[in-house]
Amino acid sequence: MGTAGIVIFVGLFALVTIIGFIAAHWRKGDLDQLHEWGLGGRRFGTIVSWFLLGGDLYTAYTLIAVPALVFGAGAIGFFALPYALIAFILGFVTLPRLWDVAHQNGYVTAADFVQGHFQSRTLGVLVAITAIFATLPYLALQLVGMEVALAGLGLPTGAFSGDLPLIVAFLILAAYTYSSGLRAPAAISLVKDSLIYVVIIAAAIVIPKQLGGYGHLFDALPAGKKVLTMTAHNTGTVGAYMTLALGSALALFLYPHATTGIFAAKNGRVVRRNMALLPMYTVLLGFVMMLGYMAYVAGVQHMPQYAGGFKAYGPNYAVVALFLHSFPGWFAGIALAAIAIGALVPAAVMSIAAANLFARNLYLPMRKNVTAREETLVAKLVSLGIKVGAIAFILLVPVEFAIQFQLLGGIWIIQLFPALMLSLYIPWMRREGLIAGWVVGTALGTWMAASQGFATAVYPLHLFGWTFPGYAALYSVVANLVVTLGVSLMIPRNRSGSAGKTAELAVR
Amino acid sequence: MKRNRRRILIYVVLLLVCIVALAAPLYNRQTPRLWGMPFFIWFQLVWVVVAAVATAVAHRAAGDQN
Repeated sequence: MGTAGIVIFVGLFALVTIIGFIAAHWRKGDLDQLHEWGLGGRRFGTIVSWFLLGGDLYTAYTLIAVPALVFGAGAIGFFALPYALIAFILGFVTLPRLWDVAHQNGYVTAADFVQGHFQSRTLGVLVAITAIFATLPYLALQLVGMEVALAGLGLPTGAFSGDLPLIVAFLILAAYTYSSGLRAPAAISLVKDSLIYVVIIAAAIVIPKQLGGYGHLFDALPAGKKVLTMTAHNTGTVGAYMTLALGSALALFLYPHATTGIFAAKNGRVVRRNMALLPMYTVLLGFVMMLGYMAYVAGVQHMPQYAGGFKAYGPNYAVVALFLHSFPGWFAGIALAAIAIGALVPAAVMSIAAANLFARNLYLPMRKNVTAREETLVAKLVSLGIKVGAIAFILLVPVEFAIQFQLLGGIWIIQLFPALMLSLYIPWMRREGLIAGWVVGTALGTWMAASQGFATAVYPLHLFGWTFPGYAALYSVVANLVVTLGVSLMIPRNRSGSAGKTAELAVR
Repeated sequence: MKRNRRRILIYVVLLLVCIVALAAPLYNRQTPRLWGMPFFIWFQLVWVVVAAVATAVAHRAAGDQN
């Protein structure tokens, strides 16, 4: 793509690096306190929260993998539209309440909330471990997104020297996350999302024009790629579409990087206003998906200059190839930078969220007399360790492993739905019920994925002579709910640590 | 009382928006086309805008209280 593109790419990368380090001084606080380092001092207003939270949806991997699904599998990839729509409405209803409880009790993590709400250390540890394991593969996939963008620059990949840019980029990220905490990704997300907006809007206007307009674009697609299918006694991709959308929507705000973004808001009003504003992001998401169709019709998969990229990264290379094919060199540089920087923000927030969970909910209960300074230091070191681990994972293990692990992560994280969301509304849930439900849901979901050889999270449920291929996470969380509520009803009142407005267990 | 009723109305509307968004059989078709896009695509894009407006109205109606 020429020198101009590479110069722009490196320049933008340098810019966000400087912002990342300067961020430590932004609305300065005592960075030896966990809520200062790991929640930005809970001082983020409407605009910063909007970028930070919306950024959770627009990760590098979203930009790469969602169009890749549309490119490869067709219409089913669009499930992300109803998914995002429902997730934000659900967030609008539930999250301001969650923020209120977290703020009143000084909770830093979702596990804090569950532990305090149900007065159960066991449940807190369970939530923390689930959340950490669900986040790690997600973090690793951000690296895959960045790797694909770097490959688009035309730098050599594969051998150690080829991995060098990726390693350097991530070490820089690790350094400023260590020193600035959540302030770094919050500040960078302003640049990142602006870039992504510009790139998507440009792509939505310029590329269809090159392909002869949207009408021609859809005429050129094979019919099979444009519709969902369903046959007698089999709900087919229609059912899969619906369950994937609902299951993913229930799971989105359970991920620790999302709760971290919410807890960092200044007040409940900021959360509420944000949830009302965030659906606007979703419109853009529709155009991101159509990039997959555009790449297919443009025929980048048949062009010899992109054969190497497709061979190395499969459909994940489609968007990068499309950008290189359709944009002039300098703008392709901006587009690839947007993807690579799009990996930095969520990767930083994810590592901070996982580190907060480790320090607060696993390390703290094990040791006595931990000072705030020590707790924060542990969190900083863990966030560093997680990123080094993620690089090692991506460089040493085949990428299919990270994708399969991420499928499982989605199934695991949704099991927190009863404890984290429903508990705000159902006061009679019991910790014993939640633990039993978690065990059943996690085991069933993992078994369903295993029965498909971990290749897909869609499980063909056979019932009444019908087959319902659907999202294993949704099926398993239904089982979880039945067990949770059933066991809760069986336990007599006043025996168990009841939820609600009575004394919440102090976490620190 | 009046406030509670308004709140319930808001939740019902938001729930309906979600149900329509999930009801794939409803919009899983190619025609009529708009701006060259199949119904499947443009209906969902329009519905996202509907959802955004509904949420914004709900936010207004619930009051921007703290």
